This record gives sequence, structure tokens and C-alpha cells, in this order.
Amino acid sequence: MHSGRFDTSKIGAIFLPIILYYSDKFGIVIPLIGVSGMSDDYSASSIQVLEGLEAVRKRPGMYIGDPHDGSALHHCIWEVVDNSVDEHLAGYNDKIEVTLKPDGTLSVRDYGRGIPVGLHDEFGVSAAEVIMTKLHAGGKFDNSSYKVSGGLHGVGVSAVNAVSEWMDVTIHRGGKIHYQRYYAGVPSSPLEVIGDCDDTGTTISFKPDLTIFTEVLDFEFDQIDTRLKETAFLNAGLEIVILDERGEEEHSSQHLYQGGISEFVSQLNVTREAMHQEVIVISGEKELEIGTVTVDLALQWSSAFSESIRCYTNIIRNKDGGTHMSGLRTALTSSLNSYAKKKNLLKGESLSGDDVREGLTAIVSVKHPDPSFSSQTKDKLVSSEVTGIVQTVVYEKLGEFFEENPSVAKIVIEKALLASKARKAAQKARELTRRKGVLEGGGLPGKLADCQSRDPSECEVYLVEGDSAGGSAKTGRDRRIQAILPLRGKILNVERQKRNIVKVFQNNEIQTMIRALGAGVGNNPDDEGSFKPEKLRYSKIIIMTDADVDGAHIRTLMLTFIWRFMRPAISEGHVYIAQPPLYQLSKGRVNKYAFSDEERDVIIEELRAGNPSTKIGVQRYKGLGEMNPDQLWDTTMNPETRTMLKVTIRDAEESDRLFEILMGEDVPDRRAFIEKYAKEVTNLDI
Amino acid sequence: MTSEEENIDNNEADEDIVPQGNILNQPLEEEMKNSYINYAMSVIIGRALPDARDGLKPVHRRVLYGMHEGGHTSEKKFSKSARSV
Repeated sequence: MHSGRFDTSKIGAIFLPIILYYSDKFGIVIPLIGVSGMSDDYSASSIQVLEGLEAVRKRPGMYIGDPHDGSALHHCIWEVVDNSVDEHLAGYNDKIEVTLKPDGTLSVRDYGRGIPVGLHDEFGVSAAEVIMTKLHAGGKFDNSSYKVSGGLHGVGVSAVNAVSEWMDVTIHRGGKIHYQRYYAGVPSSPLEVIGDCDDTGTTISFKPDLTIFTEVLDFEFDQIDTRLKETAFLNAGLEIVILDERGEEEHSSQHLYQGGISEFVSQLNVTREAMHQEVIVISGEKELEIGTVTVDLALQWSSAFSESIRCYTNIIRNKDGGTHMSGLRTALTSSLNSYAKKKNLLKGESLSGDDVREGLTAIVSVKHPDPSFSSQTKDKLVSSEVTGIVQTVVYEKLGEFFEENPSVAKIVIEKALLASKARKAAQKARELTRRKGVLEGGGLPGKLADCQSRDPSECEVYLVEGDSAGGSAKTGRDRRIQAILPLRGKILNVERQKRNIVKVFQNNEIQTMIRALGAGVGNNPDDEGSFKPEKLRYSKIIIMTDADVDGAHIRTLMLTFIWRFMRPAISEGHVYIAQPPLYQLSKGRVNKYAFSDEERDVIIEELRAGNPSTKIGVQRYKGLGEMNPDQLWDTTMNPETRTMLKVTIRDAEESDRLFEILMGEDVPDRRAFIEKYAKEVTNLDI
Repeated sequence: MTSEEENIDNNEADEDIVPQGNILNQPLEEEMKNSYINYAMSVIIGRALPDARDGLKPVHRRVLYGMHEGGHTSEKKFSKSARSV
């Protein structure tokens, strides 16, 4: 954070000046950027300094994440709730209430100490107002009021305030109720006393500013519930109540777990078959100059095939892992290997990290007095000292556990040996696929209608359902940059072939896909021939299936394959979904297309132009094959006019579980899922 | 830590990209959820469940109805079932 180099050379501007705002109190430098106008009137007056919260409103992405896809919207909730959780960590709060109101506002009530309300010496306003309106203000910098806390930049709640249409703060403290309202981060009046109370705590209510957030504008109960459930697991004894008042019926959920992270692991494994009864709990701590770092882990192996490690720092989820994750991984591999060697359980090679982690469900929770993250959204922990601490703790304690529980150790090692065997078999099968491709010459499958360009950055490949649709697509495409790969019918569900991965590589359609994309297969980057996104022959992989429910099914099957065997293609944003129209509406010679039922009705009105007797032909496209090649081009494939969905990852762990539930072998979960979401069906095709 | 810099750079870069057609973001989970539930519910309602009254699945009912419409009754001439299907 102590640097400020920018190179955003815009047209004509010589360079962009950088204005640094020093906040000497906390030793933090906030780089603020001047925005240039046209080159000829680029003078001293064209330099703007975004003061305080204005910067947040201009560039919300830097503080709270992407305002367009809902991640920033929900991040606002986490920022507010995390402050209440910090009160719990400090030992003053045992209940948090989150309420979703019908008018789109959200309020968070905690029973902590309440934000201090006294006058702040330096700014001459109440401390609460300083916290709410100044960036980098807070009580969490010197570790005296809070030993550990999720908040560390002092940015969170003031950033939320900045992007809210309005925000109300009600503080119960010292027998009085204090209240203040802000509009877009600006207080409408000073903090005032509005009544008496005999409890303490803080309530923050806010309405997100819809001029900043787009596309996703509603809070999603499920997402909030999932996340806050985790928070409750990580804070044994903290009760979290979520109340949704928006629908016709109120619904609420309540989370209070005394068992903490070991209960969390058993809960995660409910749907899986645990290999050993007891959850392994490990904890340890280390004194550093800045304070004590505590490490808590809970581990359990199940018969699943994927690993699921969740990492937290000061109760904040780090979805991209970080140094605690790598510490755990290293220690796991080495402690299992050394135990196995000592007991002579290994035949030949030692176990690899992947083998050891197969089927592992683990929670790593680190409490650190001064953690550093890769960004304000705290997706990745970067404090390097944590690796060593986690490694030592896990290595020692896990070794002890295995010595005391040899039966568990044996089960785990046998599982890892089996995984190792399966991995080698899969590798062989994969190599065979590759070699066969070479022998057949050129390596490109016969069904692929390739494009002329050889520059992957401009090339696209359409994975099309069925040969007939493939035919139209081949005729209609721009053959310079668009390739077509027709796939026949429903492709193999790879999620159900875990016991026999070889089958996946023997499958014809899958071999075709692998060879057409030409970037290898397999998610483990260390394996030979694994999937390398930079080797992709096309920068866009576009899934184009019929607009019926079987098309939807094929889409899920394809996504499952890509997720399990070519994951980087999704995480680096190469996978798209084509959006063919649902209806053709025709009046005389005029043809229009509608992509949804609502659009259809609007267009019909338009075509009628007030004359209800006008005849309008409505055709529902059941399959791509019904469209003429030029229609397909106009509506779905022309890069100038088409609409496509780019597949993005919100939470890799959650996606993993979703694939297991929807595509896996266990029925009860799937059944529960369908029952839960049955009402949300959008396209019922009978 | 240079994440702030990167973020700003990204924002700047985003604005420079000429919009090509219309590309919207779709989280993987949403896509899987929607597509799967549409398929699953349609299959359950429209294909998989036999009617409680006569045990016929929709596909069988359609075939019988088609045969009825086509007039393939018992006193008529023999005809291959494959013609109806």
C-alpha cells in the first residue's frame, strides 16, 4: 500500500498525476487518481481529487467489489455484520439480528458495546460520525480495544455508507439511545439522543443506492443465510437470526452452534459418507511481536472424491485461500507421508498432495492480530508468517493424533493410496487419448468445422447440441473466426464416473471436445498434459444448446465436464452461453425475435400498433434446428448483435458442492434440492 | 501491497473496451441451478411420473391417443406399431 505508481496513459495526456493523501495517523497512503479530460484543455484545473467517500462512490470496485453482479451489494452486508462479529470476538456480543425489509433496506442489530458516541478531539464531531464518514477510521488499528478483528482498514462501514441512498445508525450506549441519519454518506444532522434504554448495542439500517448498483438489486436470502451460517459456526456461542420480511410470508432462520468448527465439518459432511467417526480438531498458537496468532482446524475425510478446504482469517472467509491454506497442504502431505513411511504402509512412491487431500473436508481458522490480505474484499491471506505457523501446528498435532489413533491413520492412508492408484490410471488413459489423436493425424476431430483464423484471441468455438443444429450453425457462421463442434445428444455425466475415470477419457464426445480445444485435460496443473488455458485454440468456448429443457440439461452436463476437467477455462472467463431467441414473431414480412415471454408480449403490442385485429404469427423455437442459418446468425451468433452470458465463478467451494448435489450419485440431496427450489422453475416444458 | 493500483487499472481498462454485442455475467451456480431445476421439474411433471389413474406415462398416452386418432381399432386391418410411433 505504500506505493503509488500509475500508468494509465490516456490519449494525449502526458501522464496522469498522482495525488497521494497521507493519513499520518494510521500510516496509510490512499492513492487518489485525477481524471483527465481532452488533451488540449488538460491543465491544472482538470485535476480532481476525490475526497473521502466521493472516491468510494466513483470507484466502488476498489472498496467493496463489483457493483454489477451483486457481489458488492452483498459485500455491504458482510462489512456491517463483520463489525458486529468483531464485538463478539472482543467478548461483548452474543446476538446479531439481520432483517431484510420489504422496501429493499437491510438492518443489522447487535448487542455489543455500541459505537462510541463521545466527541472526537480532532474532528469535533461524534466518534460514531467519524467512523461512519471517514475512510480509514476505526478502533481496530492498535489492537487495544479489539485483540483480533476482521476489520483492519477502517474502510468497511464508511464505504457502505457512501454507497447507500440513506443509512440510519442507532446506538444504545450509556443508558441513552443515539440516532443519526446519512444520505449518500453525508450526515443530515449531528448525532442526537432520542430516548433512554437499558441495554447496549448498535443498529445499522441502510438502503443501497441504486444509481451505483446495477443488474442485481435484491438481497438474496439464500446467499445471506449460507454466509451467516458459516459465521455462526466459526463463532461458537454467537446467535445469528435472519428475518426476511419481503415475501408474502415472513421467513427466518436462526443459527447458534456451540460445537464451533468441528460441528461445521460434520455438517458439511452430512451429505457424504465419513471415513472416520470423529472430527480431528487441532489448535495451537504462536507468540509474535505483534501479538498471538491462533490456529484452529477441524478435519475429516469422507468417501467423496473432491477436497473441500475452507479458510478463514479472523472469521472472514478467504475464498481464494492463501498462506494458511498452503501451510495446511504442506503439513498434511508431509505428516501423512512420514507416518506412512514409519509404519511401512507405503509401497514405492510417496503420496502426492492431491492423493492425501482427496475427500478431505477441512476448516482452517486463523486469528491474527495484524493480517494482510490481497485486497479489501479479503479473498486471500498474504501474511507470510502464517504458512510456517500453520505448518508446524498441523504437522505436530496431526502426527500426535495419528500415533494415538492408528486405526484412523490407516483408513486415511489407504484412501490416499487408492486415490494415487486411480490418478495414475486416469493419467494413463489421458495419455492414450492424446497419443491416439496424434496417430490419427492432425489431431483435430473430423466433426469439427474449424475456423480460418489461427489467432486464438479472436477465435470462438460453438459447442452445439445435435448434428442438425450443427448444420445450420456451420452454414450461418462467420467462418473466419467461428468454429462449430456438433456434439450428439446428451454427453456423459462425468460426475458419476468418479469411480472409473478411465471411462471419461474413452467417451467419444469427450475425446472430441478435448482434441478440438487442444489445451489438454485435467485440473491439476502439475500433471503432464493437464489443461492449460493459454493453449486453448479458441478464446471463447460458447455453449449453444436448444432453448428447451433438454438443452438446459445438456448445458449442465457440459459445464460439469468443463468444471471437473478444464476448470481454468471457467475461472479465466473463456466459457460463454449463447442465448438463442425463444420466439419468432412475424407480421407480414417483418420478423422480430423475442428472448423471453415478457419481451414477446411487448413486441406483439408493438407490432399491433393499437390494432388488435392484426394477425401476428408466433413461433416458439424448440430447437436450433428449426431456425434458418441466417436467422441463427442474426439472433445468436453475430458478434455485433448477439447477447451472451459469460460464466463466472462466485464461490468455488459452493459450486463444487452444487455439482456434487446436482450431478453426483447421491439421490437424497438432489431430491431435497429439487423440493426446495421447485417453485423457482422458469421454463416448464410439458 | 499493490491491489489498489491494480483495481484502478482494471477499472480504467474496462471502460476502454469497445462493447461487442452484449455480454452479461452469469455466475456458474445460478446457471446450474436454473438450468437444472428447469430440466428436473419438466421431466418430473411432463415425462417421468405415471398417472395415478391408469399408470400411463405421458409418452404412452400420446402414442395411444395417436393410434386412436389414426383409427387403428381392433376390427381394422393390421398395421405396424412403428408407423404410429
